[in-house]
Amino acid sequence: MIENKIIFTGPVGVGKTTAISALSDDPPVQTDARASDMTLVRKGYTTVAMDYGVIRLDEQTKVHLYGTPGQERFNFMWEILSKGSMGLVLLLDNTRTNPLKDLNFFLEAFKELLKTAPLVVGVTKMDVRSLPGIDVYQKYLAQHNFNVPVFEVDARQEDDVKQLVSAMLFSIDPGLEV
Amino acid sequence: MDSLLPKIKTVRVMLKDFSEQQEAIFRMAFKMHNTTNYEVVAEGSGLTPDMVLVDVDNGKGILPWQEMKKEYPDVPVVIFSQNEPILAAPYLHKPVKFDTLFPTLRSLAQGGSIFQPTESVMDKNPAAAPAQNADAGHRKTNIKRFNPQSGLLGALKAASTRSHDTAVLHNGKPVLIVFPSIQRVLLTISAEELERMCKDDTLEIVAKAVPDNPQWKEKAKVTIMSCLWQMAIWSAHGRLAYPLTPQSVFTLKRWPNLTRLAPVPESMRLSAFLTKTSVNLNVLYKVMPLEMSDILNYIAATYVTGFLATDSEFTEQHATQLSRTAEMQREVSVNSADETDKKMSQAAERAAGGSQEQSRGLLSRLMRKLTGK
Repeated sequence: MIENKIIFTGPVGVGKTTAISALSDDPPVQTDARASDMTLVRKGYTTVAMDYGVIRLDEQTKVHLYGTPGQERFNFMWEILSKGSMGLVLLLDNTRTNPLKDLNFFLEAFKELLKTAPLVVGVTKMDVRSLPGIDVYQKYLAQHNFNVPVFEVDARQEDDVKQLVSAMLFSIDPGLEV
Repeated sequence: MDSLLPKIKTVRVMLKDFSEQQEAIFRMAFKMHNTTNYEVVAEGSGLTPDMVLVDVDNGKGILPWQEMKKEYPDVPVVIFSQNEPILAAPYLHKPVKFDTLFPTLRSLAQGGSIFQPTESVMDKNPAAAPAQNADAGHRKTNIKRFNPQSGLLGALKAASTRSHDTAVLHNGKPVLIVFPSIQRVLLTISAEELERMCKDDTLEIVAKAVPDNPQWKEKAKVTIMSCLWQMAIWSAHGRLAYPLTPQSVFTLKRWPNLTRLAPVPESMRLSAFLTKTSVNLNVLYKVMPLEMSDILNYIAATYVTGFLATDSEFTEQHATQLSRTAEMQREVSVNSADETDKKMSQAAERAAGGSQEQSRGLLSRLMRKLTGK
């Protein structure tokens, strides 16, 4: 059964929480704690369970937005959260040491979901570090039989995040009436 | 940069000879509908409607409909009646059902929902000639073509493939300096002036190799990709890129990075569709109810930037040879009724139909929420 939820995933500090905030009708519920490991270097706090936001379509209908915790030790949450999701938004940080390795990691982690649900990829912080370029991510994805939207995004920009989700909706149904 | 999110379209509807009650019902329905903004325009307001609905059940018969057809020959003029018409015409059945009203209005706006009377009806009324020909209900238009290998666009494309830096000049003055090694372009004129030049098919330009200049490179902020994309849109301005024809089959190799490229209306939808299936322009025009100019600008941008894969009928070499000759068919016809490839058409309709698992209603509502937020 497809549930009304969209999953945001990606490595620590990529902007998942920020992206959900940009879309959510309610202030998102964040479960943060002071980071104890290398995450501290990236930012002072980290999501330890999940982020939650909601888009309200009407009184009865909501689309839930779940942000997975970025650290690998919480990966047991990923399968639970992603079951029945309508799509996966994968955010990658272009300033990390090996973003293609990150990409491969998350494709593997969400392999089951991606058999049926669409994937869109947002690459953040390209203004800080421009390489690898979008084409490199696309070639990598093509080698793994994915021909999906790969956009440069700024997770703080509402418009960028909305375009990423719009691409996901059109991927599900190009004939969508708007 | 303008948002690529779909904008809510406005359709102006004239309600001719409607009773007060009927008009009130339609106004209320239009007000409750969110995906398209239907606006009622009054006769004599000076505004041209996008569609005219004529109530023919008030004793005047078909005459008001014929008058409206003469007054507004370029828009759908619809017979609104509880009886099926005796001639072939766009038709909206009375009483309306709200769950089918808007899909029917949408079809009518696109030239569909043409009622075809049966033979027995025609026999009883031999004087009733069909109002439209057998192609009624299909979309047909003539389009112009342009050559992306010529002019400023062609010069940029050629310069981007060279191993050295190139200046593109007009009247002896540089317009662009292209740095293939860093995939950047230095623009020496304003965007408005560049757009004007792109739209000038007779523009004379010269390309000249230039020596390495680190200071120029430092100032070059625009990527070749984004420059090609924008200049293709300006150069096309609603025309089909030669050597493509309405029969050329194409598909998208991969998604363009749409968040960082100049906006083209419906580019998100077209990208989603063309990564799923291969079509020609006739089939695309049939399956996707989009403006032809938007489709053609998108095709130009994706073709020039290498995102569009086309069938092997026109290779680059062939296109280069053809571009040197004076002959290029300037205008061609696109006809959604062309059924030379039914399999392609069926596959395209399946691709445009979306996932069976996802409720289209939910997706539409979510998209409207994103649009309206």
